Amino acid sequence: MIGTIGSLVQGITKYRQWLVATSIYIIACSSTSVLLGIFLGLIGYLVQHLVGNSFVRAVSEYGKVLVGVVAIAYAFSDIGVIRLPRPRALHAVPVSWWRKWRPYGASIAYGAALGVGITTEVQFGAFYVLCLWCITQGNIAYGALLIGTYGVSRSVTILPASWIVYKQSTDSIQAFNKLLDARGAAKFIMAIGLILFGVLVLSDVVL
Amino acid sequence: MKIQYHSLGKTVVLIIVLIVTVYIIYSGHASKLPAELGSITLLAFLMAVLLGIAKTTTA
Repeated sequence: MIGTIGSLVQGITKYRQWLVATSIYIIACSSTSVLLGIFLGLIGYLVQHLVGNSFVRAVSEYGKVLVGVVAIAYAFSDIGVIRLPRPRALHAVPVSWWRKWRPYGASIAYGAALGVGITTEVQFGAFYVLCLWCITQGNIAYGALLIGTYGVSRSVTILPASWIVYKQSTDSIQAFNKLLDARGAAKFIMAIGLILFGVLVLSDVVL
Repeated sequence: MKIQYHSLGKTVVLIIVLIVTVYIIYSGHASKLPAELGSITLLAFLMAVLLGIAKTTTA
């Protein structure tokens, strides 16, 4: 992600262009994340309101158990112990967008596409767990806030990256070699988070 | 599901975290901790932030 997105501002010479391109990316990415959260929350809401109360209570409990188990399973999958399916819409966002529309059109396109989360390889199982959690909550506002938080966090991290590319006029992959090497550590930290989350959710049902 | 053994160290750490967390919750020690530490919502939002940052490491 950082390789493609960091390149958005490559070749840009004016500060204003950098600011606009980066801001457009952040807004587009955050917006589609919020929309995804609304969609997931809406699915849960509809399920809860289309069926009876007793059924909803049972589904909600089973849903939490499912989220807990999936969280723990993806924690082990993230560190390579087991293999689990990682559904996605695209393998990666097309590099051609950058060539065709950079900087502004590409900023919108990449931001909007990446905010959805499944338009690149999903290496962190936490994404699926959070999506599933939004559905089980059945709360549109909660879904929008939670997935929106992910989108804002994901998009804002582009700021230091694109700033370095802009200031040093360097290739983004070259500039972020060390960051890309940290993927293993990032997966491990997320795996620990998933374990804690999974146990907490399961204990909420059992206790 | 295919098991790979190359990440044994990480697996051991994860299992220890899992056991310790389960022990803390089920032994009742969790009630002595600040309520925020056991908040699922708080942890979910923290994970959302971490996930956003972590995804930056994807090329």
